[in-house]
Amino acid sequence: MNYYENIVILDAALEDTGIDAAEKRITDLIEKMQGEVLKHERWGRRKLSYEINKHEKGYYLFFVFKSPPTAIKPLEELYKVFDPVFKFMIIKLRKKEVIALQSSLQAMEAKAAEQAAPDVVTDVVKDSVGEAVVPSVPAETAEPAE
Amino acid sequence: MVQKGKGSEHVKYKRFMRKKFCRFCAEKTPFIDYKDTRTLKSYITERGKQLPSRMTGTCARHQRELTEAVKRARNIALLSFMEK
Repeated sequence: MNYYENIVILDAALEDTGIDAAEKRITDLIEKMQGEVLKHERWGRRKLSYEINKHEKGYYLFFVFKSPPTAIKPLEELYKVFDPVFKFMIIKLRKKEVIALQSSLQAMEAKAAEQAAPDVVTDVVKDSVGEAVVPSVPAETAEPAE
Repeated sequence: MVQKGKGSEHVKYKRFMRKKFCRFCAEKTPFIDYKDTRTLKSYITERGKQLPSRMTGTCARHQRELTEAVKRARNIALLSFMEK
C-alpha cells in the first residue's frame, strides 16, 4: 500500500450535482481497487495560471488516498475518458510527507473527537442549569449591536 | 573581475552584504509542499522563472526539492510556466 496525492481539475461550468457525481465516481473507483480515501477537499473554482484546453477556470478537487500501486493505472484511464476532467495529477508521497500526513490525520481525528465531546458536555450543562444560561447569552450579544 | 575587487573596494562591498541562508534549513521544514504557492512564489521571478540559489541562498538539497515543487505546481496550473 502506498500513499498518493491526487489533484483533479474539473470543468468550472459544471453544476454542483455534476461535481458531486464526479467526486463519487472517483472515490468509488479508488475503493473498488482496495484503496482508501484518507482526505478529500474541494478547493472550489479557481482561475488557472495558464489556459488549458481553452479553459480559463477550473474546479479543483484534492484527494489523499492509500492504495496498492495497481490502482493508479485504472484511475488514470478513467481520467483520460472522463469528460468533466481536463487535467489531473497523481503523486506518490515520500516518507517524510507520509509522516507529516499521518500526524495531520491524527490531529484531525483528535479535533473531531474534541468537537464531539464538548457537545455532550454542554448538553449536560444546559440540562442542569437550563434557564440560568440561556438569558445571559442574548444580553451579551445585544450590547455590541447597540 | 574578482581579482580587481580584491582591494579596498572588495572589503567595502562585503561589509554591506548580509549573509544569505537557506530558509528551509533554518525553519527545518520536513518537505517543500508544491501546493504552498505563497512560499514558492518568493523563489521565482516575476516572469515565472525559478531564481538561482546564488541569489536566494537556498542550499543544494532544498534547491532540488524546490525545483520539483515548482514543476509540480506548474503542471497543475497553480503556477504559470511564463507570465506574460
